[in-house]
Amino acid sequence: MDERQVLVVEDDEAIGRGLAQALTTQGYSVRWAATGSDGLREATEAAPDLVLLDLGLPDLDGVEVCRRLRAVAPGTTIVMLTARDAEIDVVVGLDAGADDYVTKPFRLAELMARVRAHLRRAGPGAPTGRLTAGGLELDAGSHRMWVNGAEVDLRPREFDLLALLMAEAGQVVGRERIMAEVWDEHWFGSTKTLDMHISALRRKLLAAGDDPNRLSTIRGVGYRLETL
Amino acid sequence: MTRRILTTMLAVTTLAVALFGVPLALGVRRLYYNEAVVRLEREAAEAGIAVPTSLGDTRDPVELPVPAGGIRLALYGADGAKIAGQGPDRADAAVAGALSGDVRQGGEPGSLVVAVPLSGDERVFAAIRASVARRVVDARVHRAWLAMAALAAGALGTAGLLAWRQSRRLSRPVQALATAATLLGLGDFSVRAETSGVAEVDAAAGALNVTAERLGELLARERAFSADASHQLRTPLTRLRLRLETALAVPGAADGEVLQAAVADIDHLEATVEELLALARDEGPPRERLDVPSLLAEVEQRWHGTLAAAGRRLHVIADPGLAPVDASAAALRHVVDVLVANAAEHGAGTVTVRARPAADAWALDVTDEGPGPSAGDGDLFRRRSESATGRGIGLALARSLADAEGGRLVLSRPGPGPCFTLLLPAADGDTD
Repeated sequence: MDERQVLVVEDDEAIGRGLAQALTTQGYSVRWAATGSDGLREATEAAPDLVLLDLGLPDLDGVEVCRRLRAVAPGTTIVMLTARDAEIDVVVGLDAGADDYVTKPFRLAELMARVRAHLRRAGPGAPTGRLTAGGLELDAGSHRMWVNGAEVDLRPREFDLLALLMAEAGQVVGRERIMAEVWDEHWFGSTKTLDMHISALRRKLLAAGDDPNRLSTIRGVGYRLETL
Repeated sequence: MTRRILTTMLAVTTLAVALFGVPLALGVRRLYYNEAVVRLEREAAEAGIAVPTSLGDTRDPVELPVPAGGIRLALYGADGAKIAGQGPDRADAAVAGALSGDVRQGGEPGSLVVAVPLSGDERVFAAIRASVARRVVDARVHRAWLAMAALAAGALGTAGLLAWRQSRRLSRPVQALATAATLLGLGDFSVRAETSGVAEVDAAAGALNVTAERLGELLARERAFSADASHQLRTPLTRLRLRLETALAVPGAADGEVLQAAVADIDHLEATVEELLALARDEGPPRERLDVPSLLAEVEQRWHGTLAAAGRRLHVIADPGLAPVDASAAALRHVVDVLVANAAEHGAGTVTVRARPAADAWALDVTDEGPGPSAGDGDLFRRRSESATGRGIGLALARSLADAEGGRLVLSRPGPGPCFTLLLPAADGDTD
């Protein structure tokens, strides 16, 4: 089993050390940086698979670090750790490129489960083969995707999400089901990461020239990919 | 304020009076002088009727009438010698001129003189000189001026009285407002300013009342928080400490059960902290549903021309799938204005304003094609003097307004091609 790399960027020593320890126990290869600039340096040297990023860093604004991390390591999953539970601050972070957030204080078990869910490769029962819907084409095997013939670069989770929705094209897929199949069936807490990924998908599809009404939000239920 | 209104009114009235009064006074004088001359001529002519043409022959004593008003008449023969009346013994310029056939005016210093020829048998045989001291005419002029001055004084007096009354009417509500504000500052949040009928003062009073109410609410909540917090936090903390310290003191007692109980205590603490934080959080004023298309249309209308004049384009776009937002349209209008003004002044090329959905929120990006700001994000939004680079106050204010609406304003991309993003929470968010 290959070791997944986790980078912890957290200035509080007790928390940083505690997280590093817990993650190592889970079998991950862990690095710990106490400042934003250190964290960016580490990420530049060797891109980690997942970053646990504290927003209350001493040297740089956590959201700014997130933005730069995204630029330096585009394939990395970024999970914010924040004491700022004001909804809007979470949104700011997600908009800056974070994949998910966990509020402090967190239950260690939950955090570990989140990390596991984010790092898991393909979900159970993930679609295989080729899928088409409207002008969209997806090849699950090679992990590639095209809009009207032009290839679009998707991050792994975005890909899995789109694949699921395309497999059920024209039908609403409930939030719980999406979380279970794309991430993990034992998902704890907030599912804002789903909204965030849908947002990112919408933006990428739109940029590739797809119909703006491709992904519909059914409030309180889930999402639907339209066969336009 | 009273003094200012009074001074202004009096100054304006004085100016008006002077602008009209001075030329009028001069005109009055001219009028009186002309009138005097005409009168002199008339008196001279009338007196001349009584003089017989055979004057030169008989040398009878001639009696000239004595007109009123200080006019002196004198009769001169064709040779220029005075025959009767009051005047110089020999003909002066005016009389000489009259003797040659025309009515002549003249003036020695101090008098107005008119000389009228008397003709008979187709020749001028005498002249009548009428004169009046200037002093007499001046007296009349001065009397008129005095009357005018009295009127002016009356006008100024009336103006002053009106000004005083009006300023009293204005200063009373302003004074009341100032008092209310002072009381508010001293900590009385129950104070409310009354309406006064003066529109601007009432607007200020209304705003003050709203502020007083909100401050009152905030203060009440803070008090409630302080009162609860101490008790609600200390109790579970005490329990926790007791459990752990007891377990430490007794060897072998620090087992799983104790630790589990301790974690449960922490859960309890956490819940309490959440409650108290929620209590302390200010919800802000009630907000209305934002009409996004209307807001974007306004932006387009307001800025299209300005940018076009500089040869730049403005794109205003609304992406599909926007979540509804509750926010003050006025506040957001201002924020967007600041951002577009910023892009217009410090940016370059096409300015794009795009409303797009974000994760359970609503976002507005304002981008341009310029190099972007050079300072770090923190500096940019800090309130600086306008003169520094011109960015100063605007961005700081925009950020405050965004915060007040429960949103955030960030520089999402420093550039080149900088992007400022305004984020607002969606009105009815998806439940987690």
